[in-house]
Amino acid sequence: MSEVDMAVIKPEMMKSYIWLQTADGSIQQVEQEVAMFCPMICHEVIQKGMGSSKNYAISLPQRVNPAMLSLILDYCRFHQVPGRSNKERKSFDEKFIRMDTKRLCELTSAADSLQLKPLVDLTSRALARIIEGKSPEEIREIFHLPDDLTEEEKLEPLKNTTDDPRIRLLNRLYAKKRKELKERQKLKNIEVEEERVDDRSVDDLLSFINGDNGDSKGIKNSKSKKKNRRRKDQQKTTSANEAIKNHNKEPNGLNQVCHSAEVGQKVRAGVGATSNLHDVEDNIFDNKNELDDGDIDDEIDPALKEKIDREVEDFARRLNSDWPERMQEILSFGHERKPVHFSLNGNGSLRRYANSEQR
Amino acid sequence: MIGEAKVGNEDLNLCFEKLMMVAAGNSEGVKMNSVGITEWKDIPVELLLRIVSLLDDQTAIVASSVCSGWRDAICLGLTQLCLSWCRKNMNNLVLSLAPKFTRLQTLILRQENPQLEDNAVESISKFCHDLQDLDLSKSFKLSDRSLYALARGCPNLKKLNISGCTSFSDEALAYLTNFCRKLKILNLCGCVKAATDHALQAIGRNCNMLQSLNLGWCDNVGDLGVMSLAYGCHDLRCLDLCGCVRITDDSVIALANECLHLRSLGLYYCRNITDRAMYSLAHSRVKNKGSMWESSMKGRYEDDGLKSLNISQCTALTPSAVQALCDTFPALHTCSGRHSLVMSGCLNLTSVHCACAVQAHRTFNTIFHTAH
Repeated sequence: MSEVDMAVIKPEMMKSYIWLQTADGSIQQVEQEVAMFCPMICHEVIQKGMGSSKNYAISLPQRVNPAMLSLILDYCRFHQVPGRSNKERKSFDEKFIRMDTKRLCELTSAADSLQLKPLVDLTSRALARIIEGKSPEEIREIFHLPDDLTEEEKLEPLKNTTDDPRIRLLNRLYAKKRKELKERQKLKNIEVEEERVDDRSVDDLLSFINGDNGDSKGIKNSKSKKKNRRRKDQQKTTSANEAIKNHNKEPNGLNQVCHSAEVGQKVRAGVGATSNLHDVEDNIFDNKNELDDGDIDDEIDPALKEKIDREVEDFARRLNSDWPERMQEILSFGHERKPVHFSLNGNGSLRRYANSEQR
Repeated sequence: MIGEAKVGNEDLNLCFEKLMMVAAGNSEGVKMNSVGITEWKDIPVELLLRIVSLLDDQTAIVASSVCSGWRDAICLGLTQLCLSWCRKNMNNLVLSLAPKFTRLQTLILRQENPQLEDNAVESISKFCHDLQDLDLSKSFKLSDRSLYALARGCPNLKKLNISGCTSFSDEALAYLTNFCRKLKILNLCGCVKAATDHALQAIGRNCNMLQSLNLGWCDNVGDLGVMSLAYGCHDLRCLDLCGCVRITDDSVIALANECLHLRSLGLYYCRNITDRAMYSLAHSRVKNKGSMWESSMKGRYEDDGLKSLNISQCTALTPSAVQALCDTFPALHTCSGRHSLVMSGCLNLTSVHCACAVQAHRTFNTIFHTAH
């Protein structure tokens, strides 16, 4: 019997079924109208005559496992009914898409292999929404992606695109920790080459603080004092820490109008709008530039370094725990204020230093 | 070295977990399912690119530094990018992205405040040879070096916007046209130094596929340039000569005779334009209607011929000439719905109406609003 006959008889009499086999070998039968909603299955049935019985079950692509198949069939079962309003369909879609990220990925892949374009669009958009606004580490975490780019490669474009202060801070903390680990290993091995690797990573960090490109030559140009390498390391650590401390100020600076205005904007941006993000991002760059220029005469001793390290840990812990509360505080403060540009002069940097001392 | 880094990674990841902001809702480590895909990297590249195309530009850039698989996919697949959201670091961003995104075809670098420098454009022309659409508007800091670099590196350019780049010279622009012969859309609005008769002659010689040219406020443009343009670029459809005060009727007559596909013409502030120009436009249409009959048979009658004309402040024109023009080109409208014949500041032209405006006037007997 041909499929056409079946389609004619169907409404009154028997329901016809199509047999599907997933990659794991399990076979199931599905109502015809539901299964035919998928172009790939439709193609198999019409062009090749498959699926009419258990022995001739349609083999589904490997990316479709039974769980995904049942999800997809739910989707098809709902949408193949012609009489539904757009509003109904949309609300079904919104509820349908609520699942954890892993299943969403699998579903996207499965829908793509079955060429079910509406579902691919729906899931792709959902995945895009998940990815938006996240840092690379977060994306790797969510999707279990390997961390196989060199640090230079990772930091390269991020220098100039990170808008969320938390992301930037995390990047810096991350790099700092890595550097610490390497230094510890270095102390064991006394290898000169490792130091160079360290420098490069911190170079990248600081080049972005300076607003230069990622070239180490650029760094050398901007730094005036180049003593022995160790001192340079310490200087750079300090500069990085100073920059981190500056950030430290900002969530704490509720009594400082300009700071809080910036953070308020940032937080607001983090919630939804992205347009003023970049305004703020670049103002932060401004701050860093000035901060760094005032940095040149820095002398570091281990005690101060310890203090700085502790402050960083403190900040990280606080950021981790208090962020939601702080967000509320800051939002109520930093409402509709224009970010203030810090002028480039010695006073600016000194003032910054004074603040750090007060801490 | 890499092994040590990986070990360091694990250690770092563990202590980094504590600092992480976002709980993704997944437990740590990679889970293996028995069947089906387990990792994102099993998703085909096209699907990943489709998802990336739904992201905004900034996120797409971030996504390219997630892992090597994503980086390769995005670097091979990304063809359009806009960096206009970047307020302060656009130059550095371009320098770091150009070597990666070598398949770019469209690149929008329009700036709010000028940031772009020559080294960024040189980097683009060194790596992005497929570039077809480039927007460098308002890049005040760019010098001729950029144009020379683009000439060498981006020969496939079809659309180029350098409006507001006041430092470019006409020599460099002429040099560019010698290499970028596929140019179809060129925006030189405000490029006073670059848009001279010399450059226009070069354009007329080299860029024969040109369809749209904006010479707004380029007051060095004269008849010689526009006539060379007309003789060279027969496919010209849109030409904006707003503020090109030296233009006279000869330019318009040349355009009327040579550029038979002209659909949009801007002559705002071209005070030297007289009725001669208007009649020549009308005449060329009538003269060529016979030869263009076959092509217009497919489309509507309105499809060819002037669709939009701006003769504001051309105070030398008289109503009879302009009315003749309006009658010849049915696509020119003075009615409020489809206003395309703009005559601001021409107080003696208030009696000029398009056909539908006249009908409306007759039928409804309302006071007709003059074009303003």
